[in-house]
Amino acid sequence: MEKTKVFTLVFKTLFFLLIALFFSWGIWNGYFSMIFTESERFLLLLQQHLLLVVTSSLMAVAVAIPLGIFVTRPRFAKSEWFVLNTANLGQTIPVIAILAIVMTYLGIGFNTAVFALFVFSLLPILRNTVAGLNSVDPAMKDAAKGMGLTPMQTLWRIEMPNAMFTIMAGVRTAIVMNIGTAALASLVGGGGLGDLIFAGINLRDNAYLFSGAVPVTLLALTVDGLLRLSERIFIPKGLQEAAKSA
Amino acid sequence: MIEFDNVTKIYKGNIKAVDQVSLTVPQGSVAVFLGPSGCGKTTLLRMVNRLVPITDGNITVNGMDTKSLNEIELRRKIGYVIQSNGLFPNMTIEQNVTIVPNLLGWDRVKQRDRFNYLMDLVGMEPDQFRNRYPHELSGGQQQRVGIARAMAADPPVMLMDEPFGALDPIIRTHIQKEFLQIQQEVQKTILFVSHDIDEAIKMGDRIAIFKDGSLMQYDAPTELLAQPKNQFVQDFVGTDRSIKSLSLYTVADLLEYKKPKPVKKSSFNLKVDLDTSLREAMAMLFNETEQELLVVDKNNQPICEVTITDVQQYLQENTQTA
Ligand SMILES: Nc1ncnc2c1ncn2[C@@H]1O[C@H](COP(=O)(O)OP(=O)(O)O)[C@@H](O)[C@H]1O
Ligand SMILES: [Mg+2]
Repeated sequence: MEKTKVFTLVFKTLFFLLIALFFSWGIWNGYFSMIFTESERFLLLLQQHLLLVVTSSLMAVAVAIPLGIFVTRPRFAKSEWFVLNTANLGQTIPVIAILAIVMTYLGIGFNTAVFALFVFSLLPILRNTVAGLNSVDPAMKDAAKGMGLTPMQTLWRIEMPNAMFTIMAGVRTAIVMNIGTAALASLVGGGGLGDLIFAGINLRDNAYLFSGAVPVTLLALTVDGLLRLSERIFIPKGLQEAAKSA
Repeated sequence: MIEFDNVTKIYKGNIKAVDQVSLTVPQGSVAVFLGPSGCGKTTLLRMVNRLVPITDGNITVNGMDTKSLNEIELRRKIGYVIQSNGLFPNMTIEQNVTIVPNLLGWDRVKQRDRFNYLMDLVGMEPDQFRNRYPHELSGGQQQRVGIARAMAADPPVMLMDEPFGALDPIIRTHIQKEFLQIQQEVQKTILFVSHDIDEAIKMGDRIAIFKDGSLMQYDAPTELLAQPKNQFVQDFVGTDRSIKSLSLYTVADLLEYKKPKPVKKSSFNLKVDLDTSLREAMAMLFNETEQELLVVDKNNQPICEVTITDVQQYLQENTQTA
């Protein structure tokens, strides 16, 4: 017990030292200078990036959670296999390929990028929604039904709150992945911080590359942290405590 | 009152789980469904609140055919307790207990009063548990909350599927006793599933024994132990059925059957009253070197004396072989 704690502490310290070293090195070489010299452009790209992520993530949540609910209803149990496998198959197609396919229909620009990101975010949310709902103790559902809860009441009062942990984890995974993947939007003219990264690659200019890539990473870390915090609101208190004491 | 009229259940794949069962559970009494695993007890129970659809036959609850009622409304009028308590971990104890009153649209004050009353009834301090969560409670406490929850909307009928099956023996014995006290107060009509003959004897006003979905015998515990109808019932109640039945008879029962012997000795170490169970009386005789007990009436006046032989003869007369 003590040993692992010491190990974790040492590891964390080393990790943060490395990051600090990296940043000092970057700043020393002036790699982040463009954030300040061209701050207007940077902020615009950041804004575009956020818009890409927020739009596509909201769409994914709005589609994947209801779809997950639908396939886990006993009456539609047969559709679960089909939907999950289709989604799994979809996930195996590289993002670049999705972008290319979507581009042939929607042309280039923001819409294409959002649509591709949306498709790519579906699976983690769908899979976790299905897993979360399926893992709700059958005895609990039986008790709810036996006491006279309607299927809708059972879903909203019992199943969803108890599946929330898993569903939220899926949403978090999808959004964090989405933030990184959104850099590819640049390839189809969707804008975002990917513009800086690809400019950096094409011009072999570290200042551009760093000014794009590092903020993307920081953004992903920040959003991950914020979403973890938001779980305290979305997940029922009893379940949070149960998880802590387990 | 619950009436089963020729109830049959055939599951998909032609599995006959319940075969033409007819029995009546009188108002305010406890009927225990007893039998080995897989004999159809749970299926029969779950047909009452229509969690399992009936294949053939009728079940009436207080004179109403369950088929004629809306199934959601039917279930809200029937308390339901299961072995793994089924408490909702996302809700506080109070929210768990008052979920049905909440669905029925009771006002807050009425819900709170009901919660306080029920928690007192099951022997838990309402304010101490109101805002706690199920995972913070012991198994026994969780099962008590499960019972309180089932009684929340004051249903006349309760279904209990091995409610104490997951508890360890000491707590189980304790909670069984408490439950009988609660039942004395609330007088519900209760169907209670068990696979444990000792529990059935303790809890049941009547016991229904099943084998492969068929009803073998439906009788009061004393009758069941005294006169098993067939070999299956006899084997199920066990060769020690006469000893089991000891707890069901009192000294008064013995004296009704057998003329009391006049008191000969002048001083007794062991005294019992008429309400003492024969089990306790026997235990006293086994523990002491005395050969006889003095039976006294309410005013502590001697009535007669009783010996081990008297008890033995009484049981032999009462418990015959099938
Ligand atoms: N949903 C079901 N589908 C098919 N067979 C079932 C189902 N539920 C129970 N059975 C079968 O019905 C019989 C009675 O089961 P059950 O009522 O659970 O018995 P018990 O409660 O006495 O153990 C068993 O043979 C069991 O396998
Ligand atoms: Mg059972």
